[in-house]
Amino acid sequence: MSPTSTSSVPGKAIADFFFTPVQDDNGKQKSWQCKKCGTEKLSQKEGYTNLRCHASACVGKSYESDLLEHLKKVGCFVDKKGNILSEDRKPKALVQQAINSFVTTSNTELRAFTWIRWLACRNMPLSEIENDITRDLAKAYRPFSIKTIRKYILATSNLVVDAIAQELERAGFLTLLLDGWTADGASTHYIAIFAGYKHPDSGNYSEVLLAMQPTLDEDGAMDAAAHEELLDSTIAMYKLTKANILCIIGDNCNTNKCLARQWGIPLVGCASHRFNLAVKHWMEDQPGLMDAIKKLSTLMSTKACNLRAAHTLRHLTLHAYGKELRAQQMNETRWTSIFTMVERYFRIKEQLEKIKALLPYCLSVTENLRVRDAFEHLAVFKLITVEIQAKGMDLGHCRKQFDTLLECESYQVMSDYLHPRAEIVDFADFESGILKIMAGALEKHSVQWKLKLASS
Amino acid sequence: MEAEACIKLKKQQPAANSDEDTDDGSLSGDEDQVLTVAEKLKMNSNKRRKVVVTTTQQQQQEQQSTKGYIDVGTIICATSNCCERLFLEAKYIMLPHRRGMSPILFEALLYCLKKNKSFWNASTVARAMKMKEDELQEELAQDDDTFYDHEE
Repeated sequence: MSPTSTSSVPGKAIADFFFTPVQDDNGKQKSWQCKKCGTEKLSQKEGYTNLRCHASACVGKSYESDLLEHLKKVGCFVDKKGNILSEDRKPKALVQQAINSFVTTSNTELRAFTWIRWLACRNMPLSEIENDITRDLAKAYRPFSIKTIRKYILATSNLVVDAIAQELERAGFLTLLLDGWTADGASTHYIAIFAGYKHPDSGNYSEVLLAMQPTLDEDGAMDAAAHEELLDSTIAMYKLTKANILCIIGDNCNTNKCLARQWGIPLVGCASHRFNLAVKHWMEDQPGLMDAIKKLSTLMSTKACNLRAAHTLRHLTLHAYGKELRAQQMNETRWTSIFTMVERYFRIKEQLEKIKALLPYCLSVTENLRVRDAFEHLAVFKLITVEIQAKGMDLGHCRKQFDTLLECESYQVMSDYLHPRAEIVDFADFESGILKIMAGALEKHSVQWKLKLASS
Repeated sequence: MEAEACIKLKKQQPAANSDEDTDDGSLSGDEDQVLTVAEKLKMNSNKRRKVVVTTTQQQQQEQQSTKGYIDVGTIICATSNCCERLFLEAKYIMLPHRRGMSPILFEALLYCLKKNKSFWNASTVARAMKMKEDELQEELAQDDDTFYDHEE
């Protein structure tokens, strides 16, 4: 059968073979979905030209002969009306299965898609694809070589850039969220750049990852200039300009402040970073608290993790709570780890005190009181920390929570960080402007902001 | 969730007082204050939820008057936490035994394929497979797994 002899296979068979019907909410068929690539195609009432065009593009020009060849192989044929039937009158479901085997076995695209999805979403090393045991498991999806799949992954990521660029173009205005990261042991500093925008269709706040790259600078510098270069190249990749960008959101460090000033785009300091610093400041301000915490940390992190002590502790806690508990260690950078450590301490306090070897390291009565007192406060801070980390948390609500906290006498010291005009806030005017807009003084300010945005 | 935490706080109070019977005078006074702050915080977040609901109803009426303006309040997020969440996932890709991975592959895996799942499907892969090698030359040149070797 030559590929040029069109219409030798009835349209209905083409549709049944290469496509699955898609139904709308009322159960009425609205379109056809290609089994091979997942694209949805509309079809006219009785014509199948649209579907034929897609099949020829997706499967190849020989789609009709491919179809007939496959049907012959599985013992099926097409009758005059275009129904696909089995030669030995197998039930419909089996016929459908036989048809679908065309897509699953001979379809390179679907195979590549399935493999890439598995490798990426399950965090698999690429070498897994050449592993004999994996290959044995995935017999239906003939694997690729590492080199090939690698090429496909890079090419796909290239195309994703275009898809995201289109969506951002429709969204118009966006914010850039950025932060740096170094994997323990790997000496490369990565910078992640997200875009926050209002979804053009649903109108909800959405975030999309734009880049996760090491700084471009050849000397490995991580200063504002290197960040600037990276941001410039990133927004250029998505065909955006500075006019599209409302503000940068990042930690309140000097690099970011400098970057914002050089770039001419305001910086909104990350509220959770600010709050983290404020809590640390508050803890340092409490008389004797840090010493008590330090002592507790020695007890929990080193002494109670000693093999023998940990063993006894497991025994005692199993007896008391029905499960084995171990001491929680604290880490330096986040105060929340202090909270979990203290929480665990009060849970296993009795058991810890029963272990003789730990006695010299246990906290005194006053120290215990101090920690217990602080624990109640930390619980309140924890409430805020968890809350402001929610996706799309707006500035107004954050401000409100901070203000509520500052109203309380005992948290006054935190105003060094939490006050709207605290020293750490670099673009206080911008932030208070946004808050005013949110509070309802909309029209006046947004006109001014539009002007400012246009000029920047 | 905040509400639950508050209830927990309340419930813990009597227990905490009962097993610490030395000086609860100053302690309980302090706790009263803490509780009110916690309650206020909870009230605020409940209010916020209500506000969110009403704005969606008002939006249609307001849309006309605010047409052409940017809705800055909803676009600007107060924290850059999404980055932290990303790094949490990145840790599982950049494992100690996968340190040799080239940055460009690392980015591709994390960036498109994991975080931006909604932007690609089988048809994207199909198009990607048709791309010629010379279109990808720049990426392929950078994609070198010995990237970190000199550093280790």
